[in-house]
Amino acid sequence: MRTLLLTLLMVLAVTTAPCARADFYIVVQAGNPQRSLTQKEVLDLFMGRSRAFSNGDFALIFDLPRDSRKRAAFYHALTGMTLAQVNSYWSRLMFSGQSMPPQSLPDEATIIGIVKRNPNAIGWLSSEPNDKQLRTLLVIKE
Amino acid sequence: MVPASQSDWSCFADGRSGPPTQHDRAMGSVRSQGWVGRRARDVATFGLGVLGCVFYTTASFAEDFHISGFGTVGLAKVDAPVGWGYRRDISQQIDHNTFRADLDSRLGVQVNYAPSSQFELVVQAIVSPRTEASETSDSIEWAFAAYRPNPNWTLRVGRVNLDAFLLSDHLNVGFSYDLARPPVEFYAQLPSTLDGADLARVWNHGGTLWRVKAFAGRTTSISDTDRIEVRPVVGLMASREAGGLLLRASVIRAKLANIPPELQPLLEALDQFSLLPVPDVAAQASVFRSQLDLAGTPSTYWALGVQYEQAAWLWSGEFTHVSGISVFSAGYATVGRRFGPVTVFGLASGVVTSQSTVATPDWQSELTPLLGPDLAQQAQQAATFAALALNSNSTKQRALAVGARWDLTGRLALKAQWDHIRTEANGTALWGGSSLDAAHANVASVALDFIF
Repeated sequence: MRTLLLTLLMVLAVTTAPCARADFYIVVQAGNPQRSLTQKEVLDLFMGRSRAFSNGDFALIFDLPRDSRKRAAFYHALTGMTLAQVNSYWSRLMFSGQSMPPQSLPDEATIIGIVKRNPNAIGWLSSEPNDKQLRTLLVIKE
Repeated sequence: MVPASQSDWSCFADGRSGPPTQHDRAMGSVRSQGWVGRRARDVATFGLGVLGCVFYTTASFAEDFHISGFGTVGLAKVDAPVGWGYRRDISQQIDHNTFRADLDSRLGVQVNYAPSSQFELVVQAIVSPRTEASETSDSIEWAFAAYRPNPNWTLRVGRVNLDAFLLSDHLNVGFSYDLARPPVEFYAQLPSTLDGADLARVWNHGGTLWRVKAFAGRTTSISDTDRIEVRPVVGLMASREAGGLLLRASVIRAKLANIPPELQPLLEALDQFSLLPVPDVAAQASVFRSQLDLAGTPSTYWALGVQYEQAAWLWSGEFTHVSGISVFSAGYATVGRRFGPVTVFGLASGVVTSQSTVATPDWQSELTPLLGPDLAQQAQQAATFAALALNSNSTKQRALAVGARWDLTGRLALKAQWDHIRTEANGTALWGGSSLDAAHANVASVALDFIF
């Protein structure tokens, strides 16, 4: 029983612990015609409400793994929602066949690699990119 | 001229559990039910087959494939009159037990294959309690091909969700809502899947998201004993979402293609009685017949829904009015408040059939001089069964519920809910195997909802 209580407390601690503060950088390839995005537009893209850049091209959206701590912080900064709320929201869109969540990549280096190669890709980073092949469209303050 | 023998409709003689109700026949859904029985083996075989395909193909096209799933492990304690089976929807297996694991427990697996932004294949299978009338293919919740010529248009063909009510496209995904189950008074007799096609258009203007969808196809209504084809089904849905407020309106029109075969002998008997040279009896028999023979009769479903999220508060409400086969109005309202990972909520819901209770006419004394006591008695039984069948279609029920959801992790939620249900006399159609008497019941539920 004590073990169970301890486990529950740890679960609570993990789900409610504050994350380190950081800004988030929404990036595309330098060749993408999009110059900037508002936070609302980024929210629409990352929450499945929009599938396209301003010029009407499909956006390929990339994300970190579903249970990553940084991802939880990113979505909290973007939407104000907890990870459980974001997952619950996505389970509604996903399991009704409406929309799939952004594709998960293992780490930020992989996101950088894919965004640099694909002009339709968009992703987010937790540190400012220092790469001429990337353009930052928006900085989200946590 | 001579009515069918008693044995022809004696299957109705056990009262409420006998004749299939209008609700059983009205559009139900192919999502269903019933763990028990020989179907379990079929489902297991099918599930292994799907998983086998999935793993095989994943190895080859891992990047385009996405496998995900959801499930609920639930236990409910139902305090209701003896013999009354609580049902989450009317196509669920009738179970009179007090402790029920079958009510909410289910497991779903979904495979998405998206080789490009424009094409996508989606299959979702659900293993859940199933009735004797279900077929293995009923475990396929969705199976469709989607085509997006551009980011704003989507055409889907196959088995799709009937996107008409707020929760109808994710009724089985407990993790996606706070309640232990969708409000029974509202959702138990509404359709959820469509074999056909839908076409959707979205507009995103200055933070306001508009969606309009048109759909057409057919569906199957499954009760514990029957499968009724519903076709054609056509409908329109429009929604507007902005600043945490979602408004939604829809209309569906549908026709029943056939009626349960068990009703046929009764209809034939009523046909005969409608020819009798006794005006009262002939007129009543003719009315009964037209009320019971619903093949080809259109039903229209109107629905309005609203959801509002403001800070830690969540509000939702929905109303539907159905005319045609079953004439009823249903609605519910919920309010929830988040406290960190815990959401506490309350629910009020209700449904009322507009048609009044049908009285059983006295055919025996009117017909005895003409047909003799034996045949008159059989005629009386037909009248009694017809009135019973019509009254057992009625739904007059209200429920209040309170509960809480605790998000244990990002993918696991624990829920507890307590429901108090009041059912009026001649309004018990949502229950399985009930009488037509008024009753009240309490349901205490706990559920663990997860996604993977």
